[in-house]
Amino acid sequence: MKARTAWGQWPAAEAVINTGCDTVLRVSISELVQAPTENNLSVEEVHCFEHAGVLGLIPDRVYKVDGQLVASFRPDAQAIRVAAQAAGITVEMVAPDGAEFAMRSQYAVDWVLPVLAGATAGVPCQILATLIAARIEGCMRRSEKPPEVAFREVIVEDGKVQERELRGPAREVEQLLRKRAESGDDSRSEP
Amino acid sequence: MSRLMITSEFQMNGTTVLISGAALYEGEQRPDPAALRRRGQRRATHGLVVLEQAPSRAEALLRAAIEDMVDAFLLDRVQNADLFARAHQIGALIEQTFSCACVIDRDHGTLVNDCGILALHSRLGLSPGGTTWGHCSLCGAKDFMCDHIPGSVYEGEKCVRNIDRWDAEEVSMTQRPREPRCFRTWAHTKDSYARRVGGNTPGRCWHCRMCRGRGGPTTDDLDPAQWSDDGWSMLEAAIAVAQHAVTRPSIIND
Repeated sequence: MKARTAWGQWPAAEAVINTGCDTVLRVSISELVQAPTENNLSVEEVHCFEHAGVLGLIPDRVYKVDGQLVASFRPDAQAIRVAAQAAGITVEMVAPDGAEFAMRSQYAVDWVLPVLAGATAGVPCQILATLIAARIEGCMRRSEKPPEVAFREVIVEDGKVQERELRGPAREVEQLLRKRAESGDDSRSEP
Repeated sequence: MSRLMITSEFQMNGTTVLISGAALYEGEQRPDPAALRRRGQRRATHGLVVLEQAPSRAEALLRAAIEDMVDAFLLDRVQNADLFARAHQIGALIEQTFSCACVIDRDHGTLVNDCGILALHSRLGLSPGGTTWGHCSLCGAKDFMCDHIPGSVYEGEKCVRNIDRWDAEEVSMTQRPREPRCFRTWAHTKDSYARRVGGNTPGRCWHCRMCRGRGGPTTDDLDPAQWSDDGWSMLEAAIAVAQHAVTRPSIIND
């Protein structure tokens, strides 16, 4: 028996990708500019987002593909962006100038939400809770177990910009986000 | 709709194992399992009606019916539990009437049995990771450049994100693939190929004739939460299903 860590993944470069399907696919060699889920926000920027009531959506990865800078976001970022804008919140896609937007999916047993920054309490929490509730309902309809959910946000702690992750059963995370939306808890970052 | 098929070769306990299967579906939102169910049943009925008058047409219809039923089952196991047995019954009829042969994949040196029936027993799915670039089906805007949400309906038209490009980064073998139809995963070893193709005889599949799946699914088949989460057990089970279907017809495959 081999260690579980060795199980389950192999780089796409070793896989033979048949191009007989309808879409020709390219496997590009990418230059990683910054590590996944790492952001370049400064403490001032995070505070600025919070005070201005701006919701920042952070890309999971920013990297170069064929010379073009690409910022790839989690697929749920679009639903969150549109719902937040409809609720009157200013949304900013936090990506370097000139970066092309794309979506990033990564296999994970858990459902990983996009990283949020700034005005994440209140309405955004309500939006996320609704999103999770819809997913739970879909799972129940198909008699599936709802996934674990990871909610991530940028906070300022000990004078540094850090990412905080809340991970747990979908129902529990949904309830927690609803509570936070109701209480309007906005005390994540140091003043 | 297009489907990305992937084949990967690796060593396990000194044996060369190939895993192939569907890793990604694109071009449409996930289909409604109820619609797949209805189409599968219609095709099956049609196939049975024309079985004597137009056998080749009947064979195509019945094989297509199996694929629809398998997809419906994979997308909603509990609601389509009866299709598990129905697909096996149709499979047994096809096998006895037309026979089922595996395809020789000379590029990889294996016999491939890509019949959907094996996906009913599969405990191994493929789940890809990577970056995709797409555009909105309603307005053509690139990602994040419009306010349409994929999956939502606007004035009677459903928004779909059409993928223009996918840069693969990894493909995981898992019991919980993002797309349930990606349980269409087949494991092969080169040994079976050598045994079978030595005489240049393509392997035949007797699975549906022998499998107790004709009597219906087990509780395990209906509930992935009950499956062992040991990756190597999954893989071994996948190889067993594929190998038995190809080379050991006397062994019940599930």
